Amino acid sequence: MSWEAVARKDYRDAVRARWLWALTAIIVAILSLVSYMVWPAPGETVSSSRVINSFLLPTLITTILPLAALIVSYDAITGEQSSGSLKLLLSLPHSRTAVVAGKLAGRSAAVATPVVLGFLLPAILLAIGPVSFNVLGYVAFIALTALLGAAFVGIALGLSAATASERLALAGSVGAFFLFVPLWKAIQFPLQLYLMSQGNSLPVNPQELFRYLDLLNPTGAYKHLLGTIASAQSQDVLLALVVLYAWVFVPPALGALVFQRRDL
Amino acid sequence: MPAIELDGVTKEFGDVTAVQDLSLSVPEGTIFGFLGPNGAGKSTTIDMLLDFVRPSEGRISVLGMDAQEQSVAVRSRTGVLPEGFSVYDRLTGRQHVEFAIESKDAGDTPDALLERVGIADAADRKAGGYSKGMQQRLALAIALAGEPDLLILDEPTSGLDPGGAKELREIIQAEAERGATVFFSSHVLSQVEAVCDEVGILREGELVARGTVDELRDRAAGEARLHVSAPGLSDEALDAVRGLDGVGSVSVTDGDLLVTCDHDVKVDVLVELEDHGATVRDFRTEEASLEELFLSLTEDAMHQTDDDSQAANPADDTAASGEVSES
Repeated sequence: MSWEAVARKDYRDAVRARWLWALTAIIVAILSLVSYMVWPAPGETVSSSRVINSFLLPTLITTILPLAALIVSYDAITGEQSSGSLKLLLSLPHSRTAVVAGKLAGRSAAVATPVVLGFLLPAILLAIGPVSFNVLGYVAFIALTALLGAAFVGIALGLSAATASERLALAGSVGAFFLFVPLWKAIQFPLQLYLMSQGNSLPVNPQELFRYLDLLNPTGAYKHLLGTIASAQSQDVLLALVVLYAWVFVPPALGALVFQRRDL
Repeated sequence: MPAIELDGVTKEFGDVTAVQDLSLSVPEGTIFGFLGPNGAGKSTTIDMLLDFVRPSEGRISVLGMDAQEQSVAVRSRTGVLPEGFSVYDRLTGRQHVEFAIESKDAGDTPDALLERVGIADAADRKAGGYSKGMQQRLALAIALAGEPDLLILDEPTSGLDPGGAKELREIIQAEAERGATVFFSSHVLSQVEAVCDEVGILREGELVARGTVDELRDRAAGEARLHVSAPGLSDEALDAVRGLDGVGSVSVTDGDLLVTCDHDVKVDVLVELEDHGATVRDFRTEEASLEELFLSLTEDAMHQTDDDSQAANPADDTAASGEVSES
């Protein structure tokens, strides 16, 4: 398959970049910090689900990982276009859709690599120590984190495919970061106050509305899913998963539509 | 079936017309030289063959397939050396070639391809550290993967030293002997002349000449360069000369006139000048070379050459004008 060849090539190229090792180190540092903070008294143990749901870990992950994924993906196509390697790539028999699909797979795998390495290797040490591992839950946590990375790869890649200039793609990715990471909550709060002041005149329950608004944000969906790992409550699991997968696939699909029509 | 067929192709970028009503047919199995100065529309034409850009008007078929609708199929049987490409800095030469082989589902071995273009010893080095010439060779190896039926080479000699250019010609000839069609663009005539069966000359987006190298040589032999020293040249006189049948380019430098024209209209040119009030003080003719034919076809007719020494020998002349056209 054509996109698989592109994906393999893109992964090979991306894993040789320095950012990947930096991200691995940051993830190990975050995990160490969080483990230290929840470190139990001697003789006691702490569950791995508690570690991954401590306040700090999801917050740090949903800040660092989107940023890293956006940075490594915003120039996935515009960068190749401005350097000229896109000409080499498209001189081979790949459709533009296959290029976008291959890039999505390649970059997502490249972002998943430090996630897997960064969470798996220290986990072995923690398992020897006082952390009792819920293996299935921890694997699900790593998979979800990789999926969160893929969602932001998808957003940046969609922008990269749709815009003709690297600067626009960068601006779009920076915008996406601020929107989904710091701003979403900030906008929600005044909106919430406003809706509360409207009393019962609204057709929808504001609490419900905000719950869904939160799930629409990939980082919100991710945090919600992490919560379900620890508490075994399964409300909205499917919805949150659909949201995450939609962020992985919809932006690149729309980007590919534009990319297909564009003169290079 | 022609390997490449363009029919009434026009490409506009905003209000700039890069290619204007271009019709061209390249027979299978030929080595075709696509000539023209920089900016004539050669790369735009090649970009349209590969579906990098789409024509505003007209139809293009490559290897019997629609260049837009069936682009992936076209590219699976085509090897391309693009102009202004860059390599993947972090991947090795071998990884590049492996990717091309995998993409084309070809049976080549990467080392054999790298050997053929002369960079086998650099196979495991990152391509970002390659020189321009080595990157050009690497792109050629990628183009050769999968024994393509058509090779499209856009300014392939740029970045190559004379030895490299010679090796490239040998590879082109070997590919043609295998049965491949080679479509080869260049702004330098001598590189095309040595290897091409046929050439087409593009100027400002339009095809201004088409034929075998011998046909063009005959045409050049039929042309003369007429130097006229004639004070009092008026614009009407120049326009009248331009209007004559058989006159190619007309240019004026320091009151001296240079006309390229058919041998049998030389006298008509002089008569026309006298009729429009010019005094012909002196004149001299030279045979035009193929190079000069190329230049006269590709230079703007109104372009004033830097040729101020009328006694300069034709070789110097050519070099001087050549620099102008390449700048």
